[in-house]
Parts: sequence; C-alpha cells; structure tokens
Amino acid sequence: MSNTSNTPIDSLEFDQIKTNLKEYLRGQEQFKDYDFEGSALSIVLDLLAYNTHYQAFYANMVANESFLDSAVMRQSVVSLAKHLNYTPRSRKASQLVVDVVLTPGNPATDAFTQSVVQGKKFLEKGSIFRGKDLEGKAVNFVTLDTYKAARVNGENIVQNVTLYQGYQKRLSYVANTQGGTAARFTIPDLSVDIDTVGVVVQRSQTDSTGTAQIWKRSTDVNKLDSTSTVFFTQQGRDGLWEVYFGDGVVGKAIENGNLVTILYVNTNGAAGNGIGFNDTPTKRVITCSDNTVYEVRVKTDANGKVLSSFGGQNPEDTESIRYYAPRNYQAQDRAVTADDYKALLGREYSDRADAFFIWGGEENDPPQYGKVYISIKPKVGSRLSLSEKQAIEKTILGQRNLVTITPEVVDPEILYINPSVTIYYDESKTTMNAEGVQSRASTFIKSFNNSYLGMFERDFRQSKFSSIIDGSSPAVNSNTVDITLSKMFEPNLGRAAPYNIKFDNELLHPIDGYSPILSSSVFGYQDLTSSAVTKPIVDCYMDDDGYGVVRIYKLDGANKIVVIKNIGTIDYTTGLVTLRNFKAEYLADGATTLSLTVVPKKKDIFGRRNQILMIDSTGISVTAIPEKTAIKKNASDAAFNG
Amino acid sequence: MAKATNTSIDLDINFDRNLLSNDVALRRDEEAIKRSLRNLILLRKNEKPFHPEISSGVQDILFELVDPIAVVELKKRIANMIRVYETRVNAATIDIVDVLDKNEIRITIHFTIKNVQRLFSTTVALQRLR
Repeated sequence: MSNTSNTPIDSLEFDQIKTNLKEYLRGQEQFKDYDFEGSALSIVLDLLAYNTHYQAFYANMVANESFLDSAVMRQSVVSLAKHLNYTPRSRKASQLVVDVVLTPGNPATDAFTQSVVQGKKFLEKGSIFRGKDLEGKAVNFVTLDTYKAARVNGENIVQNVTLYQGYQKRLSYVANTQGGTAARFTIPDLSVDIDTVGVVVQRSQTDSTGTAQIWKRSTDVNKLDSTSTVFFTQQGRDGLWEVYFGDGVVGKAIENGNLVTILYVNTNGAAGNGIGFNDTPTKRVITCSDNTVYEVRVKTDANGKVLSSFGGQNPEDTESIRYYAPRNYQAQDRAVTADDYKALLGREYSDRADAFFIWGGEENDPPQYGKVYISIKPKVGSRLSLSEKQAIEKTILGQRNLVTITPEVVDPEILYINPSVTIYYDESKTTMNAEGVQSRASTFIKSFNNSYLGMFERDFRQSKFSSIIDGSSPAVNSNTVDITLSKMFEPNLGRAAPYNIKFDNELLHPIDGYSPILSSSVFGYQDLTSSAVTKPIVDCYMDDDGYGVVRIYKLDGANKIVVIKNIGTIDYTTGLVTLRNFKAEYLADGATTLSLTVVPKKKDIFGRRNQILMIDSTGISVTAIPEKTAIKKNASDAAFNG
Repeated sequence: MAKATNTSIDLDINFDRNLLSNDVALRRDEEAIKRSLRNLILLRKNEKPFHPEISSGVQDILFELVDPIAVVELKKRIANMIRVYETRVNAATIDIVDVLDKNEIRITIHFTIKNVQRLFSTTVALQRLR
C-alpha cells in the first residue's frame, strides 16, 4: 500500500480529491483500473470524492457562516450582528413635510372655522394623502401623529405635518404564554418600516383595558424596569421582523390571552423619495382623502426650493450590517471617539445623510477645546436646517457624549472646481460636430463629479479627470485642462464684518507682482473715489495686487479703478483670503452669496477636513477644436493640413 | 496466442461475492475493459459528478427514429467516447443493429487491446422496458 502520510488532506476541489485517491491506489496491486472513467472503480472513486467534497464544502460553509467577516448568507450576518446588540435597519418610509390647509371660512360666521380658532379641529393620525412618483404612479402617504389645526394669516391650517410614504397596516394576535414560552409575533411583511411600529396590548379579546396606551419600541435596556411598556424587535431567519416583549424584570411582560395589536407602515422605501418635487403654488400635487382638506402645500426651503419627500431607504444590506455592527458595539452607545460619533450617526441618521466628517475641537483652526465638530452632507440639499442640527446635537449626540464636550453640527464647506477644458478631436472618427463633442464631454464631466467628488475626504486628480474626457469619445485625441476654484460666502449686507475664506490649496504666485489670481462676483460697495458729497454705492469686484493684498475695484469700461486699496490679504501658500471690515451693500440679482474665485498652483486639488469638492455645472467650460487628419507623417515637407 | 496478464483489474459493478474468497468479485483484463466500455456507453450527461461532459449521448437519441443518420451519429459518439476515455482500446469497429421486433438496439463493439494481438467484442443491448 502507499504511504498514507503522503496523502494530502487540504484539497477541497472534487478533481483534486479524486486525484489524491488515485495516487493512493497507485501504491497497491489489487486494483489497476482507477485511471479509466468507465471502470467500476472510477465510479467508486467518484462517490468517495463526492462525499469528501460535500463534507469539506459543508464544513467550510459552517465555519464561514460562523464569523461576521466571512458570513455570506444574510440571515447569518443578521444573527451574528445580534450578538453585538445591533439591529439592522429595516426598510424606511420616505417623509414629506407639508402644510395642510383646511376648508376656508369666515371665523365670524363659519362654525368649522370657529372650531379651528378654538383649537378643536385636528388632522387625525392615519389620514391618507396621495401623490405621484416620477413615473406618474400613485403613491400613498399617511400621518402617524395627530396635529392640531390653527388659524394663521387668515387660513385654517395645520402646519409642518410629517407624512410617511406607505400604508398603515394592523395585525392582531392573541398571546399564548402557556408553558413558559416567550411570546413572539411575526410581522409577515418584508416592506415594514420598523421605526413606525406601534403596539397596543389589550387585556383580552373581550376586555378592552389597555387600548389607550401605545407600547413603544425599546433599543436601550438600561432604562427599563418591570413596568416599562416597551417591546423589542429583531429580524428572524426568514428576514421577517419579530416583535417580543419584556420578561417582567426588564420591560413589562404580557400575559396569556392578551390581545396584541401591531400597527406599522408598509412602505416602498427609497422608491418613495422625490415625491412632490413638482409642487407649485398654482399646481398642488399632493391630495388628501379627507374632505375638510382644501389644499396640501409641500414645504420649501429658504431659497424657495421644493423639499420633496426624502429619507426613504431600502433594508440595510449585508455589507452595511457587517460594517456598522462592530463599530456600533465599539461605540457602546456612547460618543467618545470620532469613530463613535460616526457609528452613532451612521445608525441613527444615515437615512438622511450621505456622509459624516467628525473632528475634535483641538484640531480645529482656530482650536476650540471642549467641542467636537460634526459635518454632515445631507442627502437632500447641501446643508441641514437649524432645527435638524439642533435635533442631532440634543437627541442623538447630547445623551451619549461626554458631559464636558459640546457637539456642534457645522455645514460642509463646498469648494467648487471650475474646469476649463480644450479638446482636440479627429473629425474623421466621429459624426458629431464640435458642439456634440463638447456636449458629450460635459456629460462625462458631470458623471466624474458624481463618481469621484461630492464627498468628504475626496480629492480632484487632474490626470483622472483628463482620462475621463479622453474617454468621452473615440474621436478625442487629447485635452488640456485649466482649473479655477470658487467658494461662496454669505456677507452681512450693509454691515462691516471680517471674513476668512479658506481654499486650503496653494495658489498660483510665481513672482511678486504677478497678475491677479483672485476675482469675485459683483457686489455693491461705497465708491470712495467719488467726489460726490454722498458717496454712491456702485457695482464692485475684488482682486489681488500680486503682493498678497486684496483690493476692491469698479469698472470704467474695461479699466479697473481701485476703490479700496487694501480690504484684506491673500495668503498664496495656504489659500486663505482674509477680509477686514468688508461691507457689501448688495449682491447680484437673486444672489444670496458672494463668490470668490482663485487660480490654484497645482491642478490636483485636495479637500481637507469638512471640505467637499464639487464641479459646478455652471462653471464648466468646454471647447472642442477639430484637428486635420491628413498629416503625412512620413513627409517632412508636408503641410500641416495635408 | 497472446493472453493478457492481469493488466486490468476492476471491481465487479454488481458487487457479487467471490465464492472462493468470500471477497468482492473482481473483473480482470478483457472482461474489465468490456465492462468499462459498457459503462461508458450507458453514461448519461451529468451522471458523473462534476463532469457533465463525459457522456456518449446514446440515451439522448433513444427517442429519435432509428434511421441511417441516427445510426451514423450514434457510431460517431461511441467511437469518440472510446477514443477519449478508454485509451486501453485500439481503434474499434462499431456495429449497430436495430431489432425492430424487440424494440431493441444492439450495439456491438469489436476492438483490440493495446499490446494484445486478439480481437474482442462486446455487445450492449438497449431495450425498452415496458
């Protein structure tokens, strides 16, 4: 027989196992036909190899599924995350904030309006609203709270009503806790938003005691006692959510025969986002089935932009669970390190934010000890409202951070990149004209912006950018790129104030006295050069003098006339523009911000701290220049255009 | 006359008992090869674990009409199978007889074994069971 110590046992593949068995048989004389697929011995070897392969695969899978890092099946990942006290996110309903105008009337004569004035009219929870998605399909919304109507500006109105996308559903179970079995109730619906679940526990089917109280979902057992009317949730092996209750020590237990009613919202998740985007004062797109509702107005932001439905999410995927579960455990529901903040916000606020960036006050410029800064890039818009920031500071972080540390949510700083691209293309390789080539390149640039920029800690690399443009069409021979950077700030109009505008990239300054690299959008400034007694306010701009001083000038035709010789400084090394006592009187029509533009020294641009680099679609300039193709490269005297 | 001297030793796929030794019966030399040929001919696609390609395809064409084209196709498949997977056998001649009365196809393979100067033959009958 062969030396069995040489028989390898590390093979997992069927063919390799069979080869090993054949090698083993080569060392004996009893059988010789193992090498021939038709032989009976080959069939026996097939069976042996198959069985070995099967067992090896099974053992491998069992081992894989036992660890969070290697588990493949969702149910395994969810189960392992359970050990880390992590509950995966369910599907989340998109939210839409609206003002609901009720039937108008005269408060002196109309009984309905009088009820509103007296505070007796309510928009009940469970009210159904309808909108349409981008494809024109009807989408349902529902209220989960009761709102009181009020008389505001001559209207009967319910303000700031939060609508949840989906249908509210109801399930009832009779609890059976006989034999000491814990009562668990499955919600047989994969589209449930678990955050909207409310439970009512009635004493029995015939005794309605308890119907007035809604039991709340608990995520923190530290605050519970034997009377806490809470329930817990977990995801079962089949992906369905289960509701269960306390044991009478941690959380109130339910009794045998209790009637458990579960209310929840069945939602479309992310598909419910963006509804209401086309709402206008003349054409309302959200309707309500309640006949006392006169009009539903979708809210707008300070700039008049419609705030369509947002925050809808599909269930948390396996990779996200794998990422957040250990971090959540590491944070222990406390915000101490920057990673803790990130994990907590990732769990609590990821439905509304694309990205977070956190840094300690000691790292701030200037340092602010005792603070931690959180910069959030929201999914909708470029900044959070004041109320949203306060909610994060107090509700999510305030209860979990160190008492001596104050969290402060700050807006991300957007640094706009304005590329000026010249494309040289071969006319013979495309049917497009120059405008077509330009248009296609612009589309690719926007795509580059979405793929490579728009997040914290992302940099602009000119070579990647150029290669994207080269790839925009087979006809593109080459391209050149020039870059400028822009930053917006909101000046206090009519009030002198200092401003620091950080570009955080080295600026172009080859020699002292170099031509200006700073420019600005138009703003109104007092013309100190005027000989008039009352100095007029005129259109002005900013630039630098090439020696690090920022000036304000006005235009007389094409000539610059300096109005203020020194309004601040520009540091070409750090990219910091400092304005002292800057007092703009007005901005360009419709603008709320003043734009400063500089030329960077390098074409690779770096985003630092809470800076987000973006290509402003209005700042893209593309020029396509056709090249002649008939250049005779082997003829030295050939004319360039052949 | 040359005689094969136990160049092939295989298990009997029926796992019969050897009456003398009480061990599993063995097949030797040409008997082992004949069994091997029979097994190869009867192999269906996917029957061999992880090797679905090892199949003569004979059983795939059983429900075709047995016309001259089908017979040629069958011969080609069997010959190819033997050439690839039964390398102990030299070029074989294959006869296929359609026994209409019995609803049967009889496949006879005439072959020589390498290094053995003798012609062997084996017959596999494919017959409907009901």
